[in-house]
Amino acid sequence: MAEGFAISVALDETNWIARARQGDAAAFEAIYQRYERRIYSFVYRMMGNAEDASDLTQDTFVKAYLALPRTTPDLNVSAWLHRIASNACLDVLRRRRIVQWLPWEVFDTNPALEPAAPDDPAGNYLRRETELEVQRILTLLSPKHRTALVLKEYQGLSCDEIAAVMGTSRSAVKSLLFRAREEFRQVSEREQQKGKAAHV
Amino acid sequence: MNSPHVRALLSAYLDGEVTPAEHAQVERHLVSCPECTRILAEYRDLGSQVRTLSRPLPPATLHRDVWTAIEAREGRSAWGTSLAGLLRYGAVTAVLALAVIGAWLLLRPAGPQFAAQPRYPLPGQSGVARNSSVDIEFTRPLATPQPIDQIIQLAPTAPITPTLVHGGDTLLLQGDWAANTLYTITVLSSTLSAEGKTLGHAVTWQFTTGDFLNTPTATPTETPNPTDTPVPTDTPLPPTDTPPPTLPPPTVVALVPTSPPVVPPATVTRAAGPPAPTLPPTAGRPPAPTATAPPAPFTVTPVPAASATAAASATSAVVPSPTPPPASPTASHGPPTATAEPATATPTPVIAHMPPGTTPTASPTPGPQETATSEPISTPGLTPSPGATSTAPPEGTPTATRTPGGSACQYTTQGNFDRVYQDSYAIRSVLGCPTNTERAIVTTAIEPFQYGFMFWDGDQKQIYVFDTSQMVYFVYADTWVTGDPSGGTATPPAGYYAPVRGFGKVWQEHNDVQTRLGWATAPETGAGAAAVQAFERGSMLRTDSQAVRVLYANGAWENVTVR
Repeated sequence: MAEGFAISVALDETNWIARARQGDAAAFEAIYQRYERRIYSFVYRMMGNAEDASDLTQDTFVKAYLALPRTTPDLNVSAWLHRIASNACLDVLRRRRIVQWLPWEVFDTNPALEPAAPDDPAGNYLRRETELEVQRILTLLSPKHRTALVLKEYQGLSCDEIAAVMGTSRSAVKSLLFRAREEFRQVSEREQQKGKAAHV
Repeated sequence: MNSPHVRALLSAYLDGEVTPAEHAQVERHLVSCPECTRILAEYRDLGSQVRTLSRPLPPATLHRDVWTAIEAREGRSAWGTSLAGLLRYGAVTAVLALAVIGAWLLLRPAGPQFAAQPRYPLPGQSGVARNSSVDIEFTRPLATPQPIDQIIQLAPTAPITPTLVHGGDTLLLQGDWAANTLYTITVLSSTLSAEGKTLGHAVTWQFTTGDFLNTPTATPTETPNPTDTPVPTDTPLPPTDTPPPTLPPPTVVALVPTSPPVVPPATVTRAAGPPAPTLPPTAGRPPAPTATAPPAPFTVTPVPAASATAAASATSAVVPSPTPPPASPTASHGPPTATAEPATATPTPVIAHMPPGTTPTASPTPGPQETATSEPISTPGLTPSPGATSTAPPEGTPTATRTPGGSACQYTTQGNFDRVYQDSYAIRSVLGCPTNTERAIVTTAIEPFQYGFMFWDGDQKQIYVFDTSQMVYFVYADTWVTGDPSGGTATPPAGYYAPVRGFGKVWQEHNDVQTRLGWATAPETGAGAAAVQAFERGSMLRTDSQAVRVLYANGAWENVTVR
C-alpha cells in the first residue's frame, strides 16, 4: 500500500475521533469496526478464553465511548484502546489472584478461530496443539510480563507504544520484555519437564 | 569465550533497542558464546510462536452487546454525570464553564464550520460492492444548483448519479463501479455550502471494489405505496430476465425543482413528508417524534449541460432512475434521454433543491411523498421483480419508524424485521432508516456449507454468500441459465456435496467463495418464507420464519433469532 494512502487513513482516523468525541455514534462505530477484532484478540490472548475476551472487549469499548469526550484531540486511538483493555484485563487478573486461580478447564476449548484448511487435518491438529501450549504458557506468566510480551510480539507495538499503553518508561518496557522472555523460557521448560514426567 | 555474558542485552538487541555500541558488543560476544546464541534463538522462537497465534474472531453478538451496553450506560449517565459534576465542583466549575463559554463566543468562527466526512465506503475499505453508493456527509447543506464536478473528483472516472438527501447535507453517489478497482475520491475544496462557504480543504480517500453486487440499499424510485401518488395500474412489468444493471454514463444529471405536476413527475428521489405528529403510532411502539424542518425534496433530471440552470424548471425532462439502469435499455423500456445521448459534450451533473413550497403534496395523508415514475421509461433501473411487485404487502399510510436519532423514518418495518429493528439500538444506529417496504422473495433456495451457506433470491437473480466464520457476506449476480452445465467438475469428499446450478457457478468461478465456504454439507433446498428490506446502510434478510440476517453495508452480517 502506498505511503500516501496510509497517511490519508491516519488523517481520516483523526476525523473520526473528532466526530466521535462530539458524540457522533456513527463515527464511533467506524472506530469500533476498525479495532474490534484487534482488541478482542489482544484480550483473548491476555485472558486465554473467549468468555472473558468478549466481556472485557465489551467493557473496553463501552468505557472508551463514555470517556471519549474527555480525551484530547491528539489521541492515539490504538494505544488508548489497548490501555483501557490491558487495564481491564489486569484488574480482573488481580481480583482472581486474590480469590482463586482458575482451573485449566476454564480455557476455551473451541474458540472461534480462523477457518481451518479442510484438506489438512493433521496440520490443523498440530497447529491447534501448539496454539494451546503457547496460550497456556502465556497464561502462566505474571500479568505484567504477559501484557508486555503480547503487546510486543502479538500486537506488534513498539517499545514506545507499549510504554504509553502501560504507563511507564521505554527503559522500563525493555526491562519488562527481558524478564517476560526469561519467564516464558522457564515456564516453557518447566511445562515440558512436566509433560515428560507424565509420559514416563 | 573471553567477554562477559550479555544476556541482559539480548532482549533489547532482538527488538533493535540497543545503542550502536551495545549492538557491536552483543555481536562480538555471540560469535564466541554458544549459550547466549542459544538463548537468543529461544527468544526468537518464542516471539515467533506468539506472533503466529491465530486471531480469534469476536462472537457475532459482541457488536450488538457493546451498543446495548452503551445505550444503557448513556441513559443512566446523562443526568447522573452532570449532577455529580456540579456537586463535585460546585461554583468553581460553573465559573470556569461560563468563562470558557464566553471565550468561545468571542473567538468562535463567524459562522458554522463547513466540513465533509465520508460515511461509506470508509477510507481504505476493500470489497466494496460494484453497485454501492458512496455516502458523504457535510456539516452544512450544500448550495444548489451546483455542478457535481465542483464537488467531486473521481479517479478513475466512473458514471455516477448524485443524490442529495437528509436536507441537503448528505450526498449519495450511486455508481457503477468497475470490479476490483482502487478508486480515489476527493471532495473538492470548491464545494459550496448553502450559506456560500467553500469547504476550505479537500477531503480525499480511497476504496477498492470487489467483483460482486450488493443488495440494493436505496431504491427511492421504487413503486410507491398505494396511499401515495397513484401508480398507473397498467404499468407494464419489466421482464424477469433483465440483465444485471450496468450504468451507462449519464450525460447530465440535475436535481431540479419540480412544480406540482400535471402528470406525475418522472422520478422523485426523495420527498420528505410533512411533519410527523399526525402519523399514527405503530402498535406497541411509542409515537414517532415530531419531524422538524423536513428536507426539501428534489428530482433527478438529465438536462443538457449548457442549460443546466434552465433545467431547474424543466419538469418535463426525461428522468433516469438514480439507481443503476440496465445496460441496454430497449425501446420498449423507453431509454432516458441521458442514455440515448451518451455522447453529449462535457456532461456536467448539477444539483439543485426543489424550492420549499413546491412539494407535490396533493394527498393530505401524511407520509412519504414518493411520486410515481410516469412511465416505465425511468423504471428499468429498478427492475422490480414480479415477486416484489405482486407480493409486497400493500401498506396503509406508513407509520413512522423510530430511528436512533429519534426522528421519523419514511418507511416502516414489519413483523420480525420490526422486532429486530425496534429491539436493538445498535442495529438501528448502524442500518439507519428503511428505504423501502419489505419485499417478499418468492423464488428461493438455500444450501449449507462447511463454513457458511448460500441463499438464492430468484426474484432478483442474486446469490448471497454468507461466511459464518468471518461473519461477512457477498452478493453475486446469478448468471446461471437453463442449459448451462448443472454441476461442477469438482468431486467432493465423502459426505460432502458440490453445489450445482447457480450456486455451483458462483462457487466454481470464485476461488474466494470456495475457500470461505468449503464444501456443501447438504443439497440445496427451498428457503420458505423469505423477505428482504433495504435500509440506508444495509438490509435485513429473512430466510425462514425465525432467523433474521442483518446485513451491514460494510460487508459484515449478523444473525438474530426471533423467538
